[in-house]
Amino acid sequence: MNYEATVPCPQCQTPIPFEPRALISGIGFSCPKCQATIAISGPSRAVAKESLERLEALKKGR
Amino acid sequence: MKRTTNRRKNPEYRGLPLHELVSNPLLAVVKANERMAVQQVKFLLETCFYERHGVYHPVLIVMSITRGGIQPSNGGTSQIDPVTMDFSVPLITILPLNTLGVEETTVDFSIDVTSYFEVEADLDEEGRGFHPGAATTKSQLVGRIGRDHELSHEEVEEEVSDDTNISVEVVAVDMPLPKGVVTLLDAYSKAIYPTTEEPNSDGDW
Repeated sequence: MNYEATVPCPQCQTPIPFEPRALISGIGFSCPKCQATIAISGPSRAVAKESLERLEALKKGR
Repeated sequence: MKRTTNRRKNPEYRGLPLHELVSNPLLAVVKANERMAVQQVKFLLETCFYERHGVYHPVLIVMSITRGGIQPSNGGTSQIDPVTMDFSVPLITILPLNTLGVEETTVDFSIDVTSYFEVEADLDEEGRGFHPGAATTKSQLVGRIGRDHELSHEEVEEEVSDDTNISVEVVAVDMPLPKGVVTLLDAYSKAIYPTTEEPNSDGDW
């Protein structure tokens, strides 16, 4: 899989590659160094999902 | 003094402003890029930030990090249990932002040169304006856009209005983010830390 985005691991600062849509859908991603797993908490998932949908609509010119 | 010499091959053809044929599609592309940039900035300000007292603050979302934590047990042995902590990140850092823009524009048309103008005008030494006694010749090509070269004069009149042929090919791609947005994202990313709890005075977590 070709990851585009990374977020620094809060634990060891190693960049954790993630796929935004998968992350927003609830899938966790692991740090390649310390194996800590990051995920979006439930309440924030709706906010992120709505924002992603707005961004995609904007790109499609809607 | 201004004198015009008109050597028309066919007086029924109409002149076409070539510079506008080329520049108008390019100006349209510039405007399209501008509109896309404005829309994206608007999206960022409305979705990823909220305004309070004239200052924009990033919208934060809560993420959790789960890692193995060594837990002491009463029996002298320890075990590894998953420990989950929450941390906040700006929403802008997880959205797949990029800049949609027109990367390449091709304006393509063929033109029949239908007339050739020579305008003999009096210009000053630097060619900026008319000046008596300094005659300079400027030329202007005029043509029409179309495919069929074997039309009668009547058909040509119709073709100029109905069958002009100019193609504008626009290639829009996802381009890298502007440097300012990248710097903003970098600053936010470097400020991501977990919210850990400190042990109390008894040493308990």
